[in-house]
Amino acid sequence: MEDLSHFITLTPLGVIGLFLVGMVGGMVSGFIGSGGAFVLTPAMMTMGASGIVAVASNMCHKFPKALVGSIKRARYGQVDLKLGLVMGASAEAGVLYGAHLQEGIKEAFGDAGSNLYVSVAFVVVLGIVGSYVLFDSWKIYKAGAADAEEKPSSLALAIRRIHIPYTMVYFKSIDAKVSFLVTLPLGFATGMLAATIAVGGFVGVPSMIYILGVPSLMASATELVIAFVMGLGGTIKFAMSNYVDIRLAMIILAGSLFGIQIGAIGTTYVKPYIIKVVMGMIMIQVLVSRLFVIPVYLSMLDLIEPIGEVVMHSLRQISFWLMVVALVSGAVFILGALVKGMIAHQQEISALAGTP
Amino acid sequence: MSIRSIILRWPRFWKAAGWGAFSGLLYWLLYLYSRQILELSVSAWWSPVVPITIAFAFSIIHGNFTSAFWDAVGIKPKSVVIKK
Repeated sequence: MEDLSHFITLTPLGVIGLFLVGMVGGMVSGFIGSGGAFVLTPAMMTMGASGIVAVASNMCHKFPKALVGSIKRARYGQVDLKLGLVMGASAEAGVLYGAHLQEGIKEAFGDAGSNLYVSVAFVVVLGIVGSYVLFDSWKIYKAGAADAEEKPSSLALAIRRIHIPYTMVYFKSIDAKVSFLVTLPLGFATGMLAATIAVGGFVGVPSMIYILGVPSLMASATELVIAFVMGLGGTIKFAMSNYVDIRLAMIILAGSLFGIQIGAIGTTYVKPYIIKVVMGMIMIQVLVSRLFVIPVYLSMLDLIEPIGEVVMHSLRQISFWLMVVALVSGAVFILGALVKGMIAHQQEISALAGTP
Repeated sequence: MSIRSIILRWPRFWKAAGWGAFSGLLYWLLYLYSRQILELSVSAWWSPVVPITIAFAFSIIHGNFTSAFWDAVGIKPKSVVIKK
């Protein structure tokens, strides 16, 4: 008989909880291309799963979810498959390198060192990228350009002018050729972030928008292709070490496939800059949540004055629930935008039907 | 909801119910044979194929169900409005 001791016993409450978190996470993923994992992994660990089983099971639900989401959004003409596959290949390398780096840090500094590295990565990346994404969407709103077609940044235009023989690839999302040597580091960074904080899209989507000039809707949809490639590769890696708990993965998938359909449908009703608003909003909230646990890890590494057990537990709880709030607020925003968009669309149809 | 709209939606309800039954069956089998499936997924060199195949199967069946479900409920993507 095989040893299954590293797999937990499921309770009805745990199953319902995972289904609901999966649904909310799926909704956010369907809309902005990624998200949910930063709550799902700690949620599974709260149920008693070890960190590695939680990460592996999350990976195993991620690739079928991304597959369904990308097919759905491809039907709306929002996916650049070639760009997704090209970036996905380098993202896979980033995942492997990121996981290797994590293992090295864990070996050298223990669990506290590894957790501190993850939290600092969260704060630095989300602080820089999240504030820029939010600032950009505010600028678009303020300029009254919410309805205008998105224009590529000057950086994106400059990158298109770089011609490196034998490396140029045509991407339909930007209707231009870009050297794959440019997409290589972008995909690699996406994969590294996915292996570090579980949400590679927080770098993948903004880099496609601001560095390649891909429209927001297409960038968030193409991120699902990258997530599929990364998720499949990650699942194979973890399954070979017997860490995938297929029951946990399929319970989360049950909820997330309901959510991802809503998120994908929502993108057809909103103005493109709303993708940036939701993404920036979630990123900043997650950043704030991670700020609460940094003192815990600094204390464990004796880098600051020791913090008491009660305070440590409270700080961890505050951080976890702030992440839940980040995810739920994103989902509420998406639902609100969907309902508003559907009502406006219905009124438009009714008005046209009444026009002689 | 008018009688006409209910009649129009009827095939969509059946489609959702069909995929739902299929998806429910898969989840019931997963629940029933969870121990054997977990054992199978860690027993041999080919074991990684087990969770990956299951994940693909669920994504197709359950994915079709969730899509048909929202369609039957009336939540659909925005259609293109052609102005006369």
